[in-house]
Amino acid sequence: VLPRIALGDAAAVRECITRHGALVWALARRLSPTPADAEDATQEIFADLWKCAGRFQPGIASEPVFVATIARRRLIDRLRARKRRPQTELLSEGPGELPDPNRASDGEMCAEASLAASAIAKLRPEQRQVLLLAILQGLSHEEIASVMGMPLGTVKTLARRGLAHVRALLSDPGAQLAAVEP
Amino acid sequence: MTARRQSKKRIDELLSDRALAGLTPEEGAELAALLEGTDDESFDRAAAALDLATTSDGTPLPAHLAAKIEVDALRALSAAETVPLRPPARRREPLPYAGWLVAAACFALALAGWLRTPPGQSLVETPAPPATAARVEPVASPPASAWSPSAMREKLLSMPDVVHVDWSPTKDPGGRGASGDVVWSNGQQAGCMRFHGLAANDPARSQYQLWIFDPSQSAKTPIDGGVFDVEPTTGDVIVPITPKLHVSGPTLFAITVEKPGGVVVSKREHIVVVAAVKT
Repeated sequence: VLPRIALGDAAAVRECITRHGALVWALARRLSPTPADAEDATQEIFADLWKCAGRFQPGIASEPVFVATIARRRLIDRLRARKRRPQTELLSEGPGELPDPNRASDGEMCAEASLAASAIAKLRPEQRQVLLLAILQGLSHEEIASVMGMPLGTVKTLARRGLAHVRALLSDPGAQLAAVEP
Repeated sequence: MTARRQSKKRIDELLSDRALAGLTPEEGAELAALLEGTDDESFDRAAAALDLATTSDGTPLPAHLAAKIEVDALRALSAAETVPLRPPARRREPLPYAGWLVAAACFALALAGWLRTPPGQSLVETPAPPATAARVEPVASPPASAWSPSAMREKLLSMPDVVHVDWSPTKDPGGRGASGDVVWSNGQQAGCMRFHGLAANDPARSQYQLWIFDPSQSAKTPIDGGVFDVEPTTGDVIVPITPKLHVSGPTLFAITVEKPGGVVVSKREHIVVVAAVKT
């Protein structure tokens, strides 16, 4: 749907909102302090998406990953602008809760997400915890260091290595192929 | 460790930090310098994939928010595709008090004329019958499915709070034979004007300007709805409304002819068409 938006197809706009609206909304709510702030963030994310739709390349990422990338960048900008931890209202999932890689089998998760779930499940517990605190709660390295009682340098190293591990797995075409096979 | 490997290590650190928590302006500048005009979003994609793996997106986007996003999207492209709208002039000009009285009187008469004043005695002429000519848009006739003012108009017409009123030409010669309508949604703060038979203007000499009368503003200072041009056409012209202030409940839309770029406050010397909202 993103290439069609880049070509100016109005029908694709509605389709994009229908297809990816729930994802953007979930990300925005999780990293926004209030529902009103989440609404503002969601509007900004879609505005970014319309501008960036022409950059989407199916061979590099799936649409959900592309949309989530755009969304995360905007949300992180907003988080940093607020300079404080968001008081989220919708954190039903604990910060250390592991994703279920088997969700991919019922079509709920794209291949990259399934791979990422598998990758993070194999990380050391503290490394996994650091990544999930950063991803799920949008905590800064300093905040994670405070929460976990770790030196800042250790947190940075754990986060960077953990993300690099996920990135390496996503860059492996063989791994991606295996993830989408039944 | 060689300088090149050190540089690569630092780039990966910054890319990872950007993906997880963002960068300070200094770090962003450092990364830009190290990447030398290129970029690498692979860390961002990895973080996004992790986010997808841990996000349950079972709650749909609220309908009102989805509608607003769609209208905003259509408005953005409509504004880009229709005739260019120049911002109104910022310079405030002194206005003679007498001019205000005339302007206020014109408005009162126009509004009174709409409100059941017998035809023939009104400043407002009887609207022309609906145009039957093929409807075209003035800008490159985009396909119906493409982003266009007409797509935005159709979307607005489906809104539950839509205001839809017809234009009525005044006795000003500039409005003779003009017809069309206005579509406006308060919830979306968006609208479109459609004109048929409105004379083409020379943008170097004058431009049309929309004024929105709203309870939030004095009738002497209605909301500036944006300036626009009409090119020679035998069909309809659809123009997105670009109000400069929040519109709480429009009571009257009026089009004046102003100097290029528009004005902050109109002398209302040439009100060509009006559309009153029945309450």
